[in-house]
Amino acid sequence: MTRLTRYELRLFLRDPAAVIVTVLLPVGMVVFFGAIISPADGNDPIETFFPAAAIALGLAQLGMNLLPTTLVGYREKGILRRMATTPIPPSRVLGAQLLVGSLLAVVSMVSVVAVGTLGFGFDLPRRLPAFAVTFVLGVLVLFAAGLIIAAVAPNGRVASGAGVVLFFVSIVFGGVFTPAESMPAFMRTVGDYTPVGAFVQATRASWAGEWPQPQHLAAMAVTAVALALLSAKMFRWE
Amino acid sequence: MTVIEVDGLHKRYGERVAVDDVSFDVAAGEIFGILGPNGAGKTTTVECVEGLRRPDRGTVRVLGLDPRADAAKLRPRVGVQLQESRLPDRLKVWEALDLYSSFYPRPVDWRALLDDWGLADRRDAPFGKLSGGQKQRLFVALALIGDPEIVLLDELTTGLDPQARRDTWELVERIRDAGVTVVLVTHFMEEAERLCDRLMVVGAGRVVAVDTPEGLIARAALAPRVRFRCVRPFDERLLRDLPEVTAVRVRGSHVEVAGGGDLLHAVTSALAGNQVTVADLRTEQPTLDDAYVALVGGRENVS
Repeated sequence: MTRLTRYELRLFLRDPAAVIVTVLLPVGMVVFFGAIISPADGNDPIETFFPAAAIALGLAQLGMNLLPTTLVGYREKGILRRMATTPIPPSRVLGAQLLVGSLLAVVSMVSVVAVGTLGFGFDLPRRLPAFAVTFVLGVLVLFAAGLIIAAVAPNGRVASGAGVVLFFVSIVFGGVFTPAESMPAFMRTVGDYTPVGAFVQATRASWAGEWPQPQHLAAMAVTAVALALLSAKMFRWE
Repeated sequence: MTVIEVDGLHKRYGERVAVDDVSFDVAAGEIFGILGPNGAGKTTTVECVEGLRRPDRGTVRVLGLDPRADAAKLRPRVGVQLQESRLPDRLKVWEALDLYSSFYPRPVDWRALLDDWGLADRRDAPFGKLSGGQKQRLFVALALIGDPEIVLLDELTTGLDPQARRDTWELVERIRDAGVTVVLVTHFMEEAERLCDRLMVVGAGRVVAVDTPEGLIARAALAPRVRFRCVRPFDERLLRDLPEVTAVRVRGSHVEVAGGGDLLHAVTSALAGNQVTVADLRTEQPTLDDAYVALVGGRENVS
């Protein structure tokens, strides 16, 4: 790990709010609902909902909130410009941010799974390869969403505002607030094509032991590529 | 030896011409000042030298290299302090130095920079908690961390209190004394006069003059002045008729006499010979400030 990545990680960990929303909140969610529903036995689909929603919550915070506000903050403060005068290009800061974000995403996911299964008897994801593929796609698509916010937002206020709006729309339509099966059909349909919705559905499927529906994986992959290309084209360094 | 050569530099932003045919050379080991009012094109000019902007026309060579095409070769050799640049608030002073030293192939020891720049006791302070002067000192330390041959300092002392500004000047002189060429962008006359070996005065994107501070003052051909307060009114023809005097201005009890030759002696003898009692008598040599106003035309607002 380069020194730049190490310092980006250190700065992230120094921000209590960042650690709370990405790790503690998702873990708290499985603890809270785990204590309420005691999922020791049975195959109620609701049991895959809480851990999947908790992981989605952490990922969405990382991608839609922390990543864009940090990058736009760096641009506003002239940190990216200052980097451009050193032998190290400012794109490395972006790379370091993505690396730190991915690391935190994994920590958050592993914590949720560990606390949920060990502490409250949630099942482990039954189809691990499917779970892993879904997780990687989820990280990619949500970070790509963060990059497009960072690329388009003219300043930090707009970036965090856009992030918050996108975050809430995503978790409402994505089946994080309420399980998709108890949502109106049209909301589910919209949710299936949004990154968070597709991620939650695919994660729940893999948790229950099935392969996710191809449309969910495809929705994440296509959106990730499209947003990444678009943000690469539009990103401003100053 | 010339380390920076700028020839016929043009840069426009949309309709607005920021830099219009600017040419200058910077010699190794000097402090070269770029002086002018806000919006005169100073920052754009140094940004072209830094390779952050592409000139519309003209050539820029730094250490014989093109700042954009040869950026990879040049960046380790040029240190930069940008106007209005910050660091993450939670990054500590020593961490910033440690981090930036990892960007350069042959960094100097950042612990020595901490001491040199009076930051040793703020080693563990987060950037967000530093005073304005400490932040600027940290930025200069960061500009020096790669052991550069040239440093470009843009508005280094803007926003500092007068004491912090003077302290910073000494540090800039120390950079030059260590053999590093310094390009200093400023809109403070006093700073330019005190620090710069040579100066380029710019106004509205054009070069007004390039010279030493003394040369600029001489070029403006300004007369020295004698000022005093008169206790009682007197006939000012007494002074006006002296051959040494070119102008007399009276405002209330304040009198300002301009002229040449042995002006002070001529004025004091004339006053004493006519029993005019005066107070607070002093002579004033023209400053860079006066020269600047004469050269740029005095329209522009310079602090």
